[in-house]
Order: sequence, then structure tokens, then C-alpha cells
Amino acid sequence: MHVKVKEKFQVSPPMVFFIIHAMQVGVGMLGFQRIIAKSSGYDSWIPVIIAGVVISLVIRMMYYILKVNHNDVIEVHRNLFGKWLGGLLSLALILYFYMTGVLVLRTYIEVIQVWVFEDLPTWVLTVLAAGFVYYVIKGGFRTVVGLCVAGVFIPSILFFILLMPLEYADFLNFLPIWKHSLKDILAGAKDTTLTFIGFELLLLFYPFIKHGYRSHKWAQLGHWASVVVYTLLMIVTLAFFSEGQLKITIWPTLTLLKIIEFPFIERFEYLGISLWLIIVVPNIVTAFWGASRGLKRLFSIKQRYVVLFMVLTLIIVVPPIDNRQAVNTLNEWVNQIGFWVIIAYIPFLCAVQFIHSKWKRKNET
Amino acid sequence: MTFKLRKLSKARTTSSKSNEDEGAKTEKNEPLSDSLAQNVEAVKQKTGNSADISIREITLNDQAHTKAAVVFVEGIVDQQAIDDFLIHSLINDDDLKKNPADNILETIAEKVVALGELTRVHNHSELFQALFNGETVVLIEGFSEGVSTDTKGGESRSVDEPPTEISLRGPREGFTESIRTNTSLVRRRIKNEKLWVKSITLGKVTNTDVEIMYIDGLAESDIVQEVENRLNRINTDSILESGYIEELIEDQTATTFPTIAHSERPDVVTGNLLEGKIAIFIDGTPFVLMVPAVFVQFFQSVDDYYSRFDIATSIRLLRIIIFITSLFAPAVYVAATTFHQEMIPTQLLIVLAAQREAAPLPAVVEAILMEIIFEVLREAGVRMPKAVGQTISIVGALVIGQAAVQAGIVSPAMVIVVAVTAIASFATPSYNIAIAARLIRFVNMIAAATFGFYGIILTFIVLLIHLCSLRSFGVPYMAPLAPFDASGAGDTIIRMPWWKVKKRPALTVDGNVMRQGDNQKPSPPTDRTMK
Repeated sequence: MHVKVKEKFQVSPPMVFFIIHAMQVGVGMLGFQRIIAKSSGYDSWIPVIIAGVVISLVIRMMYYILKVNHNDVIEVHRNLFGKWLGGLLSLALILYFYMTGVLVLRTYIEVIQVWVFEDLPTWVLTVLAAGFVYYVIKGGFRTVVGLCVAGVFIPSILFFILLMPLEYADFLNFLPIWKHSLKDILAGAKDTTLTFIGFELLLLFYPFIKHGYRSHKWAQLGHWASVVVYTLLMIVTLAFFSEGQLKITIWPTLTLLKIIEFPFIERFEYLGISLWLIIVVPNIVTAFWGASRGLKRLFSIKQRYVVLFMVLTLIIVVPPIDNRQAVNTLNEWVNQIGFWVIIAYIPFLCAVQFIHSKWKRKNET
Repeated sequence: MTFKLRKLSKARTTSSKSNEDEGAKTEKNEPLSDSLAQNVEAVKQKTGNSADISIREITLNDQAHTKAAVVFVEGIVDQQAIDDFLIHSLINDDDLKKNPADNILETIAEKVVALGELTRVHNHSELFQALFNGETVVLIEGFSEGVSTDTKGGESRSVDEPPTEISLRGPREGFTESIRTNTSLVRRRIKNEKLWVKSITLGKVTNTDVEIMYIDGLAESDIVQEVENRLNRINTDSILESGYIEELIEDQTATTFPTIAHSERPDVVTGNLLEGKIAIFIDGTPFVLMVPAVFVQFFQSVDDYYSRFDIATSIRLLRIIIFITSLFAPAVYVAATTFHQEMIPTQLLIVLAAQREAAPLPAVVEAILMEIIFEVLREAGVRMPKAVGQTISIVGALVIGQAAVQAGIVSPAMVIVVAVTAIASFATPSYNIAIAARLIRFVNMIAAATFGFYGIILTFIVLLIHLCSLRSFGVPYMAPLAPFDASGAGDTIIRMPWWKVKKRPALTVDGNVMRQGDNQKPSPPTDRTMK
């Protein structure tokens, strides 16, 4: 079942920059500082860079797997593990993508509920988002990518605005550099993964890229752009907050936005949170697109019906997650799974692929 | 315009006489008869003896006394030309007088008629087609064919400055209602054999001439083919204006955004042709369609290209800001005053609150009410005779602006917001995209009243996706921004200086993308003294 994607549905390699960057920069950016600082304190900017390097290697591995197969991960699984085991692995991966979509949606809804509309029930926002997600995915992969591009350009102004709190910064916080143990730093790096997950979707949309392998440098660029954004934001946060304050602030980024004041806008975070929708939507939509595409490939059903089904399940799945604890638990779970997918599963797949190709070449000669 | 109408009423009488179109077609295709009297009678009968059909019977040669009839439609022909070069020659020509009857048609065709194009007509369908195209048909006793000569003429408007697209600098010519004048205006600007024109007749009753023009080798051949296919697919009774065609050939019908551009200016059409676009000329209207159209095109005005690039860029940026303002200004006001009062700086909030205190209506109702009143004023103003127009503005300004505020029905801040929006919506160079924005503004206001800023951003994203999903003849509507195309992006939100724009936009141009040579940037000679 080798599926070739028609050229009119494909996107050019530079678009991968936007997809990777848009997927990585998402709702995690609102609150990643606290989680990392829990273990690494004022050294938290180091784990971000370490995680960046590690993930850069993982992207390299993904490109190796994809280059050999010239197809998506569903096909890779089938080649390496056979129909049943491969299918099962694909299904697990699809479920994981679906969960990341749910997570992003739920976390953003929580932010809306806490900061903007206190009394708005979860299901209203879910239904609204579900209809919206369906509308976007119905437009196909190109629409999803278009949204990713918008999701990088339009909110980029926010990143500059986030430099404004430096007015109150105290850079002495950073000194001495590396006062935590390597173990703490690595624990912080592990926690950073949640903020970077999303790029694994490359495993599914790879056939949609013209001259797939040439997009590697763009993927790396997109990833490093995210690393730069996260590191800068981390530095601003660490310079702004005291360690104790940071530990009890769930969304440090929003708190940073809060103190920004313009002559014509007093509380910038309302605009900021609403604008964040443009950052968050590509995350949700790409995740669901990936999950539905995977199911389509696996069971040969029309993607349209899969999307419709998924969107309907959203309305059932999301509203019961109705308090901070539940959202936090979901976050931790997906963070764990995501960590193992990136650190263990993809290298494992890469190794298997490597042995498989070696073995095949030996058999041929 | 006059001759157009006459032609139209003409066609309508024919169709009402033979109620079924199919019947009309077979009837029309009857071959011409040998007998002149019969042919003339047939013309008279089929046109219902219409007053504007002129039939002049003459005798051609001296011995055989061959009779002939000169048939034309008054008003759409050049009467002077017919008199001087056709009838005069037919009566006075010496060769003709001596000519025997049997090859008289050849003689007329080859020696007598002193006019340009000449064709033969064999049946009624060809005969009427020629007649209503402004040709003059000579029917001769004993011949079952006639000679038709091109005598197009008659009244048409002169080439004036287009009233809907005024520029500060640039040519003052605009298209007219005559298709030939229009194509010639473009032809004069592109003196190149690669400028090709294809003709097609549309409208079963109106038989309107439609022509597509493109530069061969620049226009993507697939798109040219697609345009032809879509035009050929049209099966309707009438094409009265470019709007008919626009609606019948567009890619996406469920949108308020125009996916086909139109213009009254030959320089605009020329510029578009040079970017590989295809122009569709329709007889009877000064508006020429251009496909494929992209979103940014509707924010470009001709002045951008004739003024310096830095000025043009600033003005273009201004237009885009204005467009966004006209979409979102009332929505933002509604959202801020309804949900996010904390956002408004304290001083301003006090002022607004004081105004809103007395206002009886919720902000969103106020906003929608005012916007609708404004739209009503605009609509009333468009078709008002100039003398009455002033009344409208006085009533509008006094009643809406002042009285409503003084009576405490609406808050003054709202009047300011609506006024800003109104002005903004008129500053977009293209009317059809401005009106699309006006419609969407109402959706935005409702979204803002329900979900505040979140709602505004939501509709904004939906709008963005909608725009990205649109296509015009296969070309993405948001091109060259999304998908990004570096060769075309120099002329979008910004306008790069001409010496920098080396390539044509790659999405519409077929292969041949180089626009100009290298090193076009002007620089003074190194020796500055210039003796």
C-alpha cells in the first residue's frame, strides 16, 4: 500500500520550517518555565539548550528513517514489524498524537477559563473548537500548513513584546552559572520535552513535502528557531521572577504579559491570550490532522469521516477533564509518553531500520 | 450603449416570435434561396419588419438588369462608409455595368467593394449574425449566397477617464462599451505579435462577443485552456455585463471575496497581461475581467506603480491597516466595552463609562444599529441624483451624528468608531473587496459580543483559512504570500523598486519569468563632475 501523494497536495520544503516551529511553540510556552525551574532553578536556561540539542539529533534520526523508506511512519512500521505488530504500533502512535491534540486544546481552554471568561463551561469552548478544527482539516493539508505559517508570522510580534518586562529584570539571578547538579539539569531537560513535542508529526506528513529529504535543513532551522525563542523567554522569565515566585506561578508567560502596559491598552494579557489562539490552533489542528491521516492510512477509510469522528469524540473526551488537577495530570502523562517517544522510541526505530537495511543489503549481495 | 440596446431588443423580438430556442436554430439555418425577392422577404419576416433594418434595392448591370439588395442594420453601421464605398461603387462601377449576370458576385467581391473585410454568407444564420455584428450584406438575384462586408460603426462613447478608477498620475484613458475600442487600447500598449486574442460568442439570445486576450508564452497555457473551457461551458440566454461571466466562471461560489478582478483601465489590464494573467473582454461593458486574481491585487492601485516605490509601499501598508480597521474596529470596541474593560486605560475608561452610563442599548446593538444606518445612507447615496444627494448627507450627518447622540440613543464614542470604519471601508482601492469586508464586519461584531477578543481572533482565523483555501483558476488566492513565492512577493504588501523586480510572479507566468536584465539599478557615473 505505497501511497504517493499527488503534487497538488504537497508543500514546498521551506514550509517544514513553519510546521515544525508552529508545532513546537504552543500552549507549553505559557507555563513551561515553572516546570523546568522546579528542578533546575536559575540554571533553567541550560536544560532548554540541552533538550534542543537532543531533539535536533532526534530530528536527524527521523529523517534517516523517512529517507530510507520514502514514506510515512505507518509504512515504516509495516515494513519493519509486519502487518499486525506494525499496525498496533501505528495505532499507539496515532493515539498519542490524538492525546497531544486533546492536551493542547484542554490546556488552552483552561487558560481562557482562568484568565478571560470565568463562567464559561468547558463544553461550549470545546464545541466551538471542534467545529473549527473540522473546518480547517476539511481544507486539507495545505490549509493546515497555511495556518502554521500564519501561526508563526502573526504572533511573532508577541515575542518582541515579551522582551518588555526586561525593564524589571535582575540579571544577577543567573550567577553563579551552573549551580545545580548535572542530575537536576538533566531532570529539567526531561521536563522541557513537553514544550518541544509536536515535531514527531513529521513522521506522518513527510510524504506531503516535495523532495522530502531536502526539507531536513528547514526542519532543523524551525527547531532551532523554537529553541532560541524558548531560551530567550526562559532568560527573561528567570531575570524577572524570583525563584520562590516562579514556583507558584502556573503561567509565567501570561504573568509577564500582564505587566506590559501601553498608553492605549492597560492589560495586555487579554489581547495576548486571544492572540495565543493563533499559536495554539496550528498545534491542535496539525495533531488531529496527523491522527486522522494515520487512521486513514491504517484502515483505508475516508479521512473526512475520521476527522468527523475525532471531532465528535473531542466533545465527549474534553469536558470531563474539568479541574486543575485533571489538566495537570493529563499534562504529566502526555509529557511522560512524549518523552519516551522522543528519547526511546524514535532512536529504537532508527536502530531497527539501520539493522534492517544492513541485513537487506547483505542478503542482496 | 444605444446600439447595444437596439441589438438587444432586436434579439428579444426574434426569440419571442419563436418561443422555442431549438426551433429558432433550425429555422435560422435555412440556406439562402436563389430568388432575391424570397431572401428579402425572409429577412423582413424574420426580423418582424423591424424599423432599423434597412434594405436598399438596386440594379447592378445594364443588360441583364440583375437586381441586388444591400441589407444592414441602421445605427450599428458606418452609414458614410456604406454610402461611399458600397452603394456608390455598386451603382457607378463601369466594370459592373458591363458585367454579365453569371459571375457578377465574383466581380463585386473582387473588384467593386472598396471596404476591408469581406466574407460570404450562405444561410440565414450566417446572414443574421453578420447583420447584427454591424456588417452589410449584399444579396444578388440568382445567387444563393451573399457578400458581407465589415462596416461596423455607429454611436459609441468616446474614450474618457474612467469614473470608478481615478489615478493622480497615469493615462487618462478608460475602456468604453465597444469591445474593439477596448482591445485596441491594450494593443496600442503592447506592440508585440505575442499578444493573442481569441473570440467567442456567448448568450443564446444576446449573442454577445466575448474575447480573451493573453500574451502567448507568458500566460500559463493550462490556465488559458481552463478559461476557454469555462467560457465554453456557459449556456445562458444573455450576457449583459462582466458580472454575469464572473459569476459563471469563478472557482468558489460560497465566498464574499472576489476571485476575479476587473478594471476599467487599459493600463491596469496591460500590467496584468504582462504578469501572465488573462483578460476577458465583453462587448457592451467597459469592465474587463482579469484572471487569475489574487488577494493582494485588490489592494494595489495604479498610482502605486507610477509613484516612487517608498511612497507606494507606505501607502499600501496604510491601505492594509485600513482594511483591517474596517473589518475589526467596531468589533474591538464592542469586545473591549462589553468584556474586557480592564484593558482600557483608566482615564479612557472613565470617559467611556460616563458616555455609556446614559446609553440605553448594549454596545453591540448600538454598533449594529449604527452600522446598518450607515449602510442605508451609503446605499441611498449611490443612486441619488446629485441634486438630492446633498439632502441625504445633511440628514445623515444631522440626524445620525448629532441628534442620536443628543437624544442619548447612542454614545458619542460609538459614532466615532462607526465613522472611522466608514471612511476606512472607502479607502480600499477595490470596491468589491471593500464590500466583502463590510459584510464580514457584522459577523465580527456578533462574535465579539459573544466571546470577546477570543471570538474576534476565532473569526479572524476562520477568515484566514477561508482566504487560504480560495483559488482563482487553480492559483491559490493568497499567493504569492501563501504559498510564499519570492519572485512575486516583491509586489504585494510592499512594492519593490522596478530595478529590483527581476522576475515575474512565477505562479501565473509560464516558464519565462525573467522580467528584466541584470544591473538595472541606476547609478550615476563614477565621475561626478559631469562636464
